[in-house]
This record gives sequence, C-alpha cells and structure tokens, in this order.
Amino acid sequence: MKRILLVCGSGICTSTAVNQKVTKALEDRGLKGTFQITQGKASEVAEKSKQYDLVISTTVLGGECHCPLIIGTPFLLGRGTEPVVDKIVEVLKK
Amino acid sequence: MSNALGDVYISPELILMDIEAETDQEAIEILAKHLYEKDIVKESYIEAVKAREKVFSTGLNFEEMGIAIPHTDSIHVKKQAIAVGILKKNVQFCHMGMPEIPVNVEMMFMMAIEKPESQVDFLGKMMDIFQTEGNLRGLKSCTTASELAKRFKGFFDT
Repeated sequence: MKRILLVCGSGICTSTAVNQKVTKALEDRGLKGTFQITQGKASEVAEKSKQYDLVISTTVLGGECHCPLIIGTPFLLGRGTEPVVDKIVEVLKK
Repeated sequence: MSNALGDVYISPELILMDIEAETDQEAIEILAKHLYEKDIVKESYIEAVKAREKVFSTGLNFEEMGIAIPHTDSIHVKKQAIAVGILKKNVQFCHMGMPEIPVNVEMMFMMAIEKPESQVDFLGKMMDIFQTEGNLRGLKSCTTASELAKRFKGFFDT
C-alpha cells in the first residue's frame, strides 16, 4: 500500500476536490486498493512527508518535502492531467 | 431531492454583479464583507480570507476564463455557502500552486465551507462545472443575480 499525502493551503478545499479526481484517475488505471490518500495542510509537509511515498500539492509548500512531490493543480483545471497521472503511477509502481 | 450541492447555500443575495476593484485584496474584501453582512461568516473571515490569499493564492486559469476561489478555514464560517462576484474589469490574481503565473480574473467564487470532510462531492462537482465549456461564460452573461443563482444551482442537478 502506497501512501499519498494530498495538501492544499488549509487542507480542506482544493485537496478535497483533487482527492476525488486523483482517486478516480488511479482507479481508472487499475490501481484500486494499492494506494491510500490522506489530506493535509501544506504547512505539515516538512514534518509529515517522511511517512509518505508521495506528496501531491495544489499550492506552494513552505518547507522541505522528504519524498517525491507532484503539483496537482491540473486536476482542478481539468487539462494537462494525463502527464501528471503518468508521473503519479510511476511513483506508485516503484 | 439531494444532489452534490447538499446544504451549501447559493442565493441571489450572495451574488454581486458589478464589483469595482483594482486589486485582488480589494475584490476579496468587498465580497467577504458582503458575506459577513448576510450573516454567512464571522467578522474574522474578512481578514482571514485576505491573509490566506497572500500566502495561498486561488486564481485558476480555466481555458474559458480566469476565476478565483478565495476561501479560508472553517472556524470563520457560520453557514455553508458560496458567493459569486463578477468583476467590472479584470483583476489580477496569482495562480493556485504556481503564484508566479498571473491570472486575469473575471469572476470570484468565494467559499464558506464548514464541514470539508462532507463536501467531497460538492467540491469535485464544482470543479467539473468550471471545467465544462460554456458554463463560466454562461454564468457571466447573466443579467441579474437571480438568473445567475438559478443557472449556477442548475449545474449541480446535471
């Protein structure tokens, strides 16, 4: 099980919207049950990212990220998502 | 009938058709004050949403139109709602996640969200609405707040 930390500024709004989109995109790629998404705040990344395999963020991070980081804004815009999904899949399959 | 909108309040009284502002901070303040006057948010929301925009910008450059979705922590919210503000002339915001990219914002969708964990459907659906071509232009072309509210709510039924 790969652990994904999905963050936005407050951990409530866009991370929730992106969570739905990422979950669907990964399930469409046949990855259902292989990942677990937790939502959080951008300010928590420096401290928490060590416990995760991947961070997806819709905002700028204040501090360091200790695992691969992918910007998830394309999921909000609904375009340019395929290359981002490719990158996520690549990390999950490692 | 229940749909993705749930108990999120959309109403003509929360729609401003003609906001005159020079900066993102001014535009946000006008709509946030309006939400406070309508008793949707606490007074603290006004400064909180302005401060948050400076750190975590909310401009989104959709193909059809640049918009912004200012919002802040739920502790400042009294009632779940989404307010809409049409800007008389475009105001420059910074892009979400990529603040170095400017966004010419034509409309603001200001969110007052109290229970984010129960809003997954709503937030996901809202992004689908924004991404569907014709919807943002359609909203902006409305001539009255009631027409806009009706059309916006209608999107959640589809």
